[in-house]
Amino acid sequence: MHAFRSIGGFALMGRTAALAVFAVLFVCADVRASDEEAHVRGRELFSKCERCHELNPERGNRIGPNLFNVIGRPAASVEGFGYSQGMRDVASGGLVWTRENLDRFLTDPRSVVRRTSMSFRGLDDDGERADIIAFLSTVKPDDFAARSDADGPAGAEIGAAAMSMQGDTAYGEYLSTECVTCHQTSGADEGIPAIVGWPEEDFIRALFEYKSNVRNHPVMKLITSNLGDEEIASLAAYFSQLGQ
Amino acid sequence: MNGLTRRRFAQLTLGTAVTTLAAPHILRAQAKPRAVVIGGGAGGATAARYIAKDSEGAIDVTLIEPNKTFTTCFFSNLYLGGFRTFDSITHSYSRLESGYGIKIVHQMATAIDRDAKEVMLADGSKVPYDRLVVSPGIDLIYDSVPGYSQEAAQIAPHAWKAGPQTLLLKNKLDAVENGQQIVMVAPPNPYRCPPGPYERVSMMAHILKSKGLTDAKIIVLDPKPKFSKQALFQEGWMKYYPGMVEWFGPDVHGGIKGVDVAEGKVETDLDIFEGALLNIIPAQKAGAIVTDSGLAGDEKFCAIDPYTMRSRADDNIYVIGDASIAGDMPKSGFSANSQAKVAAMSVRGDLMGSKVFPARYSNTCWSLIETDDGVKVGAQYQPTDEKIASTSTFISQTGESEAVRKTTYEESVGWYAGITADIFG
Ligand SMILES: Cc1cc2nc3c(=O)[nH]c(=O)nc-3n(C[C@H](O)[C@H](O)[C@H](O)COP(=O)(O)OP(=O)(O)OC[C@H]3O[C@@H](n4cnc5c(N)ncnc54)[C@H](O)[C@@H]3O)c2cc1C
Ligand code: HEC
Ligand code: HEC
Repeated sequence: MHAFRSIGGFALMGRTAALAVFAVLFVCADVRASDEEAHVRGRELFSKCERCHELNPERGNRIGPNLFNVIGRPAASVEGFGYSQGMRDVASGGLVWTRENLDRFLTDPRSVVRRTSMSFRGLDDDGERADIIAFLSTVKPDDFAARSDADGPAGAEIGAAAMSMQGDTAYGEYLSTECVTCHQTSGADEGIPAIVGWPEEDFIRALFEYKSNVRNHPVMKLITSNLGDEEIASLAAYFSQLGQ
Repeated sequence: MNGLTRRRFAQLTLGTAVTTLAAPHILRAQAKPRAVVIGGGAGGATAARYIAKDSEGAIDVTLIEPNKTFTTCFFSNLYLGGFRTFDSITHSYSRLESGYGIKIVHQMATAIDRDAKEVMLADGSKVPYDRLVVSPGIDLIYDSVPGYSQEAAQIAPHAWKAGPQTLLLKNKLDAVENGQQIVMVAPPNPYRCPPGPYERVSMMAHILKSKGLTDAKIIVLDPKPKFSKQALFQEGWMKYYPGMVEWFGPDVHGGIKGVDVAEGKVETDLDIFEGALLNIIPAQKAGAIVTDSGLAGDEKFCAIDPYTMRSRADDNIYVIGDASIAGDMPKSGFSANSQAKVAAMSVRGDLMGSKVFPARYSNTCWSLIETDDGVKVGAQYQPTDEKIASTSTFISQTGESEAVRKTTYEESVGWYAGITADIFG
């Protein structure tokens, strides 16, 4: 199950093209001190996003699409990522992730993309959004090289047993009937997070975090209380293939 | 999966192989096995959709429901409070028909011939079934409040079945003036949606307050000594609507003697309460089709097998939702939807020999007290030989932060979108 990270890949640009972009960034490295500070702050703030978004073009998609070089990119253009209908609609309407559009999206995702599957309530703080956007427009290989180390599993991972199992999608589909009273199979988030098309590991980790109170939520705690490894692995397998 | 469920799972998988061999029987005898569902509400529409969706055309599914659209009782209080439009809580059956191939018959079922396995319709025609799912919701026992009747409900609405009654109550609520009084008579247990009357009180108070009518008052006369989420509601009423809501239990009013809707009066042992608007919510029983066809015996609701929702009285019939005796589960849209999926799986097992997994039941009920102040209560359940038993529960706490309450409200909006997509496709 560890293979998922490389599946899907970052299809928008090949490796060479990605390197070329870095070169351009380095050549134009005429970054003023204040921009540099914004970049550092934005990198810190990006921790709000990185549970779902990878930046390293080598590492593909996660719960959300890879965000490497997102500024100026047309919406919903990462191949192999299962975007919501809402995102595909605004994309065919011509939405491009300019700084302005990104700023509006990050303020209140659901007001820009109706029924988006990005389960993120938005950032009220103008300065924080500006810093994240500054960071995203100046991402350097160092930024994500350092991060992938920091990411590394320290000791036995929560839910490891379930992650090593092959989930049964038929069993998962049955168990999912309990979930879809709240979570929509279409992936729309209208107040309850979208859970379709996730990498299985992230899904399993999330459920174990509710089970073990790493994440605190009474409803999800209750729901996961009588789900074992096999149930959780099966749910992860079923939901990961929805919306793809 | 623990050892026990793992074994059970294996057994069930094995059991499936056997039934699959046995099933062609039914298949040979007629073109397709027939599942019929009575009632297109939270329970019935879900059951019809799941049977049709998961059998992929192998079962012929008919849904019998007199109304062309369905207005949900859930969120009807939010309509009263001005948080939702009537349209946004009204749903059509078109996707069940076009997307899942369900045949929808817009008629009232008048009787069930259990020997012939046929449902009689109001126009005299008959619909034969191999398996029948019955989800007619509740009927009101009007005279449980002396002086109340179906006619009286045109003056003093119950609005405990959503639709014209809800619109009537909204009109009357919007006409209340400063200094006037609203009197609600709350229902005795068991009734649909335990926190419903108190959410309604909150929404009525919200409308009065937002129009500046803080000298208007809401009196609740309750036959019960305590009620669902009581501490949470009473905390909210004190915080947002000081002096506007008064709740009287039986130890205060001493018993509800009767109502005179023309005079706008409710009489109790303690006093006679006058209201410009009376909202009378009487006692409840299963929809008449359940009691008339003998499925409930001498009870007001129908006993079921906790593992499958099959009626204790008839192996070919499942009774779900408000009409069933579902042990510790409250009568709610969430419960009805949860029970419908268990019944649908069992119906497919009966008719196609498909896998039947162990039943899982859950419920969460949200209530809105004031703008961005939502609370919730929920539980997980497991079937036992005796009943559907609660295994763990939670409830919102008094004194929670504004942020938590706002998120709770937003979740309820997400839930409404989710459950209605799950019911109507
Ligand atoms: C004010 C209020 C607020 C509520 N809030 C919530 C909430 O927040 N959350 C929640 O989970 N629940 C809530 N509920 C409860 C919820 O509405 C019910 O529990 C749920 O609708 C029950 O589903 P059901 O399928 O049993 O019945 P219903 O949904 O009532 O459906 C029954 C259907 O059967 C049809 N029918 C009846 N008899 C026949 C017949 N003989 N032939 C053909 N058709 C027939 C009816 O026309 C109806 O469409 C609330 C209820 C009220 C009144
Ligand atoms: C809970 C997971 C999650 C979090 C947290 C999250 N996102 Fe997303 N994001 C998604 C998903 C899922 C999508 C795809 C949305 C869709 O298809 O509707 C997405 C889409 C996007 C897009 C559009 C990309 C494209 O290819 O069109 C951008 C830009 C974006 N997110 C930026 C951010 C930023 C910046 C943050 C942090 C401030 C963030 N996201 C936080 C899950 C998340
Ligand atoms: C009663 C409604 C409800 C039901 C039923 C429910 N969930 Fe949830 N779920 C929620 C809510 C609300 C959240 C957000 C919790 C939070 O804020 O941490 C959530 C969060 C999640 C998350 C994390 C989402 C994220 O963005 O990090 C996952 C994964 C999840 N649920 C899976 C499931 C599965 C699997 C089931 C069925 C076995 C299920 N849920 C059933 C309401 C529900």
